[in-house]
Amino acid sequence: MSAALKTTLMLLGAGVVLLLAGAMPVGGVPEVYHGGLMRALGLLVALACLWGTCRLARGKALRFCAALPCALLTAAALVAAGEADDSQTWLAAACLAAACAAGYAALRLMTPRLWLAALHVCIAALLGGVYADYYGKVSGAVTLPADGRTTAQAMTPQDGGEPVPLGFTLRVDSFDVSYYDTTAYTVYEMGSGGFRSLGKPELHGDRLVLGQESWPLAELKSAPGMPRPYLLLPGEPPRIIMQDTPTVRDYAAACTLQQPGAAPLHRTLRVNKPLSCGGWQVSLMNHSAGRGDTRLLLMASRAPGRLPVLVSLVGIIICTACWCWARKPEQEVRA
Amino acid sequence: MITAVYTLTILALAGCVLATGCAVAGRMRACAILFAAAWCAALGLFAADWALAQAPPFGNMRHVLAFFPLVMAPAALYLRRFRGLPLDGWLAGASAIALTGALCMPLQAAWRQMPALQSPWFAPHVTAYVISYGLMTVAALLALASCAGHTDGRMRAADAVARLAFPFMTFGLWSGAIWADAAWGRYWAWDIKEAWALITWAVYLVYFHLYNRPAYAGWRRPLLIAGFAAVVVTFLVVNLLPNLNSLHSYAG
Repeated sequence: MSAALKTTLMLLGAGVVLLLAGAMPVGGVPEVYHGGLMRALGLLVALACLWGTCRLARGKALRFCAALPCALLTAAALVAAGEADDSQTWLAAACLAAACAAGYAALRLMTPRLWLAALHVCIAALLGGVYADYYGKVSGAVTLPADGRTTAQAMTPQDGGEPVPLGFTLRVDSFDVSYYDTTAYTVYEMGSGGFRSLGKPELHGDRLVLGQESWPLAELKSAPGMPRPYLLLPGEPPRIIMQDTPTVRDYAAACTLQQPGAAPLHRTLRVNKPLSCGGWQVSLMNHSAGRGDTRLLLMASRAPGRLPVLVSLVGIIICTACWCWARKPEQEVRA
Repeated sequence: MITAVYTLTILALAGCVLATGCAVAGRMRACAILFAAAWCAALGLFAADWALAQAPPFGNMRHVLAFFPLVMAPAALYLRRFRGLPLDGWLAGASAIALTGALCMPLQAAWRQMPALQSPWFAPHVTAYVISYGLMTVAALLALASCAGHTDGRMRAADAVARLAFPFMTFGLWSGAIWADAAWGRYWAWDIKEAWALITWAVYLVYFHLYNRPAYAGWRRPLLIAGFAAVVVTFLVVNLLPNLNSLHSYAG
């Protein structure tokens, strides 16, 4: 076995062992993922990837130097298209066009071996971005009521400490929640220990049926102080039919972001669609409805390695597919 | 609708089982026809699940297991037409195993897609993983079967199937990270599901470093089987073990 292959296998094997140590469902020690050993191993893997790149691109260095930027530009353009706002359709279209052009150029220039070399570069770049975030990322929670008046200018770090200023003011102007149509109900028995579920009646036509009993759905009514429509059933012990809590379908917050000296930005914040402002990414995590007010839980993060990581991930996906699905496997050269 | 779901599952399962039996008997044309019929039943099942869930049906284990024949049949067609590998029986067999699991799972008719799952990444992420896990299962079965004979042919087929599957696994893993960045503000949380998905990917990385080196041909079979074991842990054990605190618990 060559020394290069032996080194690679040892590094991969050590990585798998460390990952297993933290991921065992019973007795696992997830703290290893944040330890010095994992960081050292990641650094060695990144260096080994760069070394592998040099060996794989040997003899075609010039071609690789021309093709690699095309491949990375393809990945970067795809990420930029994904980052574009809903109001920046033209930017997304331009980025997609650039991705197609760069991708075509990469397909023409690359060989299967060079795709493998580019894959190693992307893994090294990924690890570089991860390290940048490990040492430089700041993230924390922002809690805001959706009252259109209260503003937030700082976030509370996840690991404690003083609030970190965002560099802009954030306000939630309004909040909308939509629910799935709820056709689920539960019959409860009311006792000294509280409510006990007796089962879920099924809706047959316009009647709720549970066992031998049935009740008209229309008799369930809303009332002040009761969270959902209900029907009090006669008899002892007292029983009640209540509509189940509706399942949230989607929620969105209309926000205003104000940077010093700039015009206010009005944006809609949704789950899976974070906002970007002043180098920060603001994500909508959760909401809670209290008595007369709704509070939103947001996550604000500033990660210097985020974009390199995203570009590297897209690059890894593209390079893996182009290498694995190449029609000429005989062109592969062992490093 | 619930009756339709169970009926279509049984029909798809019957088609896959009969297709596998035809392949064992050497009747490949009948195998392909029955697998195609099973695919049609699986398509109806997918539509029924979608109507029941009011969203793409990938939210629980039963949904995902029932999706297997829908992707395995086109994969079989691709392997036969473009790679010259008539593996319909193997993919039908893997689909039959998945559908048997789907029949054992609760229906969960009340499942609804929560806001975090309403992302354009949801369907591609799950689809890619279903394709990769199904194909890696077939690769492992071929590797195991190579112990009983036709060693070179079956191992070459296993290599080809693994090579087809690995980019889908790569897409599934890293698209999940990209989606997590958009949903939670961080691309990696060392969640147990994420860690096991990374372990599975790393095992196949070791495999691809060795698979085309004749001197280490003997490593291919144990690596494919080890990779399959990691797939089983990632896909089933992590989801089904109780009291596991995971961000992916909604997939259970």
